[in-house]
Amino acid sequence: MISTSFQSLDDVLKEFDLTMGLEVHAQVDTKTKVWCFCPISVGQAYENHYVCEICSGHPGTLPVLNEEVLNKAIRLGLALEGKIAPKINFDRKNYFYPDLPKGYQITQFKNPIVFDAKMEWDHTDSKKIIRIERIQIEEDTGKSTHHQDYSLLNYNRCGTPLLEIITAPDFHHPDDAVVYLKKLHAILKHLHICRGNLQDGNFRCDVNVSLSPKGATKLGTRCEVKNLNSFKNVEKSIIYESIRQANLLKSRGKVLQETRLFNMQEGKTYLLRTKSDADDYRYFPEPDLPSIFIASSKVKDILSQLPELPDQIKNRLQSDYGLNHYDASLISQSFDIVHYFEECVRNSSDPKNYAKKIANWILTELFRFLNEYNKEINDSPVRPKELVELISILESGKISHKQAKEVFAEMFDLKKSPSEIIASKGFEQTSDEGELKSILEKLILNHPKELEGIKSGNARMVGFFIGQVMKQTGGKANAQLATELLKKLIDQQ
Amino acid sequence: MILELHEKIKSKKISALDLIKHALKSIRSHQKENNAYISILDHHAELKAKQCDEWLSVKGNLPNYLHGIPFSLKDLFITKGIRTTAGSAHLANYIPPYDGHVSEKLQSSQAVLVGKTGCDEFGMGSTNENTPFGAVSLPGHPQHVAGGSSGGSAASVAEGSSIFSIGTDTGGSVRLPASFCGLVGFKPSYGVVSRYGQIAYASSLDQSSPLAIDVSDIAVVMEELSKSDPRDATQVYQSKHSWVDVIKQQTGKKGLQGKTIGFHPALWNSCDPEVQEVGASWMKHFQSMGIELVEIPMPSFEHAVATYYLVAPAEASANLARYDGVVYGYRTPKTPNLESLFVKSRSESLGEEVKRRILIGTFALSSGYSEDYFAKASKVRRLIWNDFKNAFQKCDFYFTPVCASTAFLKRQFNKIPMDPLKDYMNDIFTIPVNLAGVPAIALPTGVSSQGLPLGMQLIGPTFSDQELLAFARNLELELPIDHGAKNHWKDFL
Repeated sequence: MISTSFQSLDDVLKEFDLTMGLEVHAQVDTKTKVWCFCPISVGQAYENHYVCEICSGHPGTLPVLNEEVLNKAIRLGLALEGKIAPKINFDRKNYFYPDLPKGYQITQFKNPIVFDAKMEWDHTDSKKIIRIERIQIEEDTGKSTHHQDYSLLNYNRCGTPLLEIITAPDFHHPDDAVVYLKKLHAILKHLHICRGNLQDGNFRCDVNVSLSPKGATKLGTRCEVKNLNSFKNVEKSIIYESIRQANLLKSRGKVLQETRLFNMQEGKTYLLRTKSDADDYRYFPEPDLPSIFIASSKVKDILSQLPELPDQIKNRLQSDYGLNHYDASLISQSFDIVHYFEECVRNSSDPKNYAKKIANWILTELFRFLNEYNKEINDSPVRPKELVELISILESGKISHKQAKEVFAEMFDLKKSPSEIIASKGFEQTSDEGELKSILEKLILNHPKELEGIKSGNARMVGFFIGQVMKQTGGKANAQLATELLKKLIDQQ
Repeated sequence: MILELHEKIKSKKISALDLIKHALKSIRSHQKENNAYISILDHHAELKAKQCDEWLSVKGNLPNYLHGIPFSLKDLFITKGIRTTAGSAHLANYIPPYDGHVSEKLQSSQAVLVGKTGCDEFGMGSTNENTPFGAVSLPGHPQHVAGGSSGGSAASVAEGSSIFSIGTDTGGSVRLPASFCGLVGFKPSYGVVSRYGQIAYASSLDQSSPLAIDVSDIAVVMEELSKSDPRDATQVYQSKHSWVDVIKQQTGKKGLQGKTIGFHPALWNSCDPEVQEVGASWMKHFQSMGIELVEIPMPSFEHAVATYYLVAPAEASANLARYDGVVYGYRTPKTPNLESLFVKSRSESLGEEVKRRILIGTFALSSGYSEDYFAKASKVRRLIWNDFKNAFQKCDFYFTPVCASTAFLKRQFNKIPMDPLKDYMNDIFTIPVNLAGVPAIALPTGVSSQGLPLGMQLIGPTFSDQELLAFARNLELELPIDHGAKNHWKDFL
């Protein structure tokens, strides 16, 4: 009987040090599979539609490396400040499973493409540094679905390129694991290495969890929780696993090395297999793929084409444009948004003054409409130049903020320029001082009682005059200007 | 011989259909006794031959020397839509959905495939007795084997039912049967012929290798086989010259004079006296033709067989993992679970020798043993390569027997009980060549006192394939080489 003296993660952390290492499998976004010319199946596809003799493991077939995968692996390695191996090899990892038609997986065991990379971020007053030990190129397997008395196999996914990103056991709290995964996910998407759709399994995580008594130098026995496909599930499974292991250690004094699966519905992990019969994958060099020597000129080329990374962009947005931390992180989450934002700033007459306002419009109105119409920012019908035009008109006082929002909605729907819409709606405010002055002069003459009211300090009477101005101009008057003029006229009397 | 036949076909003195009919007639009269073929493609062959003749009458020219020439393929070569068994019960009903390099290149050159020949299961053996499709007899000697593993290929040429055949040579599997059957067998350097569509036994040793009646025909066939194929990453060789031109520029004695040949008496001492005698007489001929002989020891040769029987089974254990009964091949009728599906499908369909090698290979790669066996074997392999490298600094080619004896008696006629270790030693002269990846040619030297053919081997440096063939061609013109199989085609010459 397992005692349940530990109920929460906080309970566990009072007595134990939690240590975790993460392995992420990111599907590489390429046109074709890693060893053959089959297209990568995206979204819904008929079963076994994207399959050829190579990826279904027919006798006599051979793999040839898709160079795009290699380039993207190097790109990721450089973005994560890793070392790029001058010579790489592939190895065979041998095991029998129906979703692996060759009976072995081609992976990188001895000489992976990237090693000694890292991920850093600011954490309250210290810096978090996670060591990424290696990034290796490998192939995805097919998928089995199990039914009552039969199983079905779909090899569409077989041979999809994967990058496996393996960290050192540097995590001690589930929050850190989630921050790391979100940052890694953002970089993979930003660099177009991975599509990053978690629900499609583009980005999957295995977590190795172990507990050791507080302050102990030796790590405890670990359990691996496999195939987590959401940040939430990573967090939940770590918490569940910590509590489970703490209770085991309390009641039995030991944890067995196991591979476990997380059940989303129940929020619990379940035993998949024990590691007592130590998996022997009998790795050996893949004889069908010769060693590849990575030229330093190739690495330099890829480095020179490396775009600014999300963290660098976020800092620049704050220092160059005075955006606050929150807005800067929202904009820097995608390179496309950054591009849109900067295009707007470039088109504005007064970047220093406009940048914050532009950010505000993008993050509120534009995002709201993009979400509603399920569009990416690159497909926005409102282009940066037009958005800036609208903001300029608003700033010049020709239209009110409320009107500007209405105009924006029509810009999005009708793809017309803001000035066209303003004209057709008759929104343009009258900012003609002469016209407003003559209206006001007549009003002052005709309403001496109300004038006296203002003079004796009844501020509400200002509203009366402005209301009249609005009435006479059909609502087009610039209220602010009219108020200023009214004050001037009264002062002159 | 192919060049002569080509002229005859071109000038319409003979037709492709005549040749094919003759080939098919030979198959019919010899198949029962020799069992050279697993599949006989008589309808396919006649149809192709008619198409060849039509081509000539319509177009008036022949684009390729192989036009209308009957040939056979070891049943280890993938042929689209034509059953390909690898000599195994597991693939007894396997019809490939794609075409391999060798089949594609030869058939597009309009050579006519008459059948798929018998072999040891997956190429594992040197007697062609390790197969459920039955042993292949040495033509004219029903108590003797044709050699293996490409025994059917050798017998098909020797019995006169094909003009050339393509076998695979992993440790001597083409050179040994060529020698037993009195033919020329050429193992190109590793990386000359694409292995795409060649069912893998040991990927780092396997090489498609032609068998023919004379050296000239080998060159004509190599022209097609050596064509580049992007589907094999290990095919790195690019032909310097046209292979046929190399042969056409035969210079006889002039091409031999001044060359240096290495040999060592230690390698000959263990051979049958008749093999030693023929070797000695050839060396006398060499000297008389102005070829210099140098004694060069090969100290690592004695470890070659042990090394081979770790490297080859290790690779085979992974290469044959795909025969699990899931996607294609034999599947056991009804099983309670996945593990027994794998175990039974494999146990019931793979032969003894194949199982033995899979077990050896699995052991050699197992955790805790891999360093002592597989890793050490890989190091010794390097030493063997060094032996050749050193030797070729002192000589142009190296001279050895192909086998210590003439063809063996079939097991049923042999009084000595079967001993796999003794069988493995048959390949002592051929195995080092595969381990080093260098080219070698087996040349027929005549027959023993019992009337059994004998062969000698010349080995060249890596990628000296064309030089080696040119030298062998000149030898063929100067030495009393017996081309007995040519007699089958005398009516056409």
